[in-house]
Amino acid sequence: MSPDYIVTIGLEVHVHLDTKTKLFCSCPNITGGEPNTRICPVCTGQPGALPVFNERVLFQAVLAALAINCRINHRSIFARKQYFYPDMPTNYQITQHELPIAEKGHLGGTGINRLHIEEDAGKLIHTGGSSLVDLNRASAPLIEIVTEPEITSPQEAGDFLRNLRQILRYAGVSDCDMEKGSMRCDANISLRKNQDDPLGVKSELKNLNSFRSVEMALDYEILRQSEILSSGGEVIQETRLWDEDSLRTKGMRTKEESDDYRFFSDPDLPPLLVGEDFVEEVATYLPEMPDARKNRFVTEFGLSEYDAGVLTQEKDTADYFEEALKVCGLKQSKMLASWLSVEVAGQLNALGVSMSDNPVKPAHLGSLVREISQGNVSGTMAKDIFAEMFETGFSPENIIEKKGLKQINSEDEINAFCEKVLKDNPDLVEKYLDGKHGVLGAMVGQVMKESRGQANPKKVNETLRRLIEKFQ
Amino acid sequence: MMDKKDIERIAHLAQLKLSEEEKTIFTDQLNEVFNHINTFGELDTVDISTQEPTGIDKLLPREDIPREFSREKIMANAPDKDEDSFRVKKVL
Repeated sequence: MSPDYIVTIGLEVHVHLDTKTKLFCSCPNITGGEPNTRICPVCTGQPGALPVFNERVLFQAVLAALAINCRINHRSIFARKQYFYPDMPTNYQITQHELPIAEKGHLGGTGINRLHIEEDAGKLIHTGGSSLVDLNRASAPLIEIVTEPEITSPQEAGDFLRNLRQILRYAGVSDCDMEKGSMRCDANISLRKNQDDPLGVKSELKNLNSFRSVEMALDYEILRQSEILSSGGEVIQETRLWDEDSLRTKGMRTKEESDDYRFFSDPDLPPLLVGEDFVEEVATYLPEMPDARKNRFVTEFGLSEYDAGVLTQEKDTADYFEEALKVCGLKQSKMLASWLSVEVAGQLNALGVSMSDNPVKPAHLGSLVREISQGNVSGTMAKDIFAEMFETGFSPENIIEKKGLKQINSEDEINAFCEKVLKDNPDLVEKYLDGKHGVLGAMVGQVMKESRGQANPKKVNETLRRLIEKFQ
Repeated sequence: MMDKKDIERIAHLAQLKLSEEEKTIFTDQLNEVFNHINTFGELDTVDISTQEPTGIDKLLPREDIPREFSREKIMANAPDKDEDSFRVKKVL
């Protein structure tokens, strides 16, 4: 970081919308798979084929716009952006240029300039002498979110993106997976000397495939530009590609300037009109957002900031927690939080399974925690029961019943176990009587072993002490 | 009027290599086209919005229901292809 310059960063984020079909045709909107299995006359640009707008895209775009506090334009226009590249057989991309669906929002401290709807392009695979074109992704629905140029550090850019991702995932707009390409980010960055100076010449960074690479590329670019400026040189406005191997940005072929795209309103698509009624209806689908939910988890459930943060990171996890809490009761919120974020999350991570595919039902985890809190099962037994729940999807009651795992609380039974252990271990008893009270732990361990982990350890402890005292 | 520089710029964007002779031919041809289009300039377009070109006042959306279309039918028209992809000249 150079303290000599003021850094100005703006982000352009493309988000692949979660819908069943593409933006302008009824081909399934799914990523991956065999090439060209989801193509039709519209998305392959056959003569005479006309685009037909997908109503679900409108819902998702408005929901996303509301989630980042944008104003919805009640009338927006689709435009053609012309360019020469074989990833789009129509030779243009349909996007929104002059009048986007939404403008003027904010997220965290960062202003949002606009949010618009556009179609994705196909994919090229370069082989020996030719390129192979896969049009499965052509015309898939995207929103592009453009921030104001007011982010002041790479860290702040990374935080903005993580925040945006979390919110859009909460809203169910997209899975926002940068590695899979369902969230893509370009970053514009420029430096200037004083706050009063106009913005410096910017470079546009592309090929940023993770939050980490966004931050690293911006760090590198600050270094590169400040070196140029300090030595009296001038930064050239250009697109630069981030190279993950060399950890540098590299200039690429100068591409079209805005004029060369020859934007004009798409004559195939009339204006997109959105009524206030519709906007109000969509607003009712906005879920409680992560920050608000985290605060509620602290105040309502008495969780620590940290636990509340972990549990509300993903909406599925937070939903699961609240569902399970209904069963075990508010008083057990901390124990439940620990089971969910340690045992459940640990198992899911180990198997690479997401919370939505968790084999343990929330109500079942809730009743396991309730059983523990009522002293019906010990901590050790609970872990075995949980392992079984995870494997079979059965309820804890079912497993306890079947395996005869219920905790032993009966005084007579515990007495019998303890007497046997004391009789079998006269050396330990002697040590204890000599004042080496630490050996009690070993004796408790023996009793637990004898009872196959089912004896209530607290009662075993008390009983052993009581029985040994009699030897004196 | 277009000149040689405009033609060279367009050729660069379209990744075309033109000979000097072709540049002259295309400059002349495109200028003829532009001259023809310029006759629109004589029309009164003051009240015509550039943002509503279709004459239909609003977009009619469709439901989000997937339909499959035969890949073979689409690929049948491709001038060049391999098993499952369109083949084009290499562009980087």
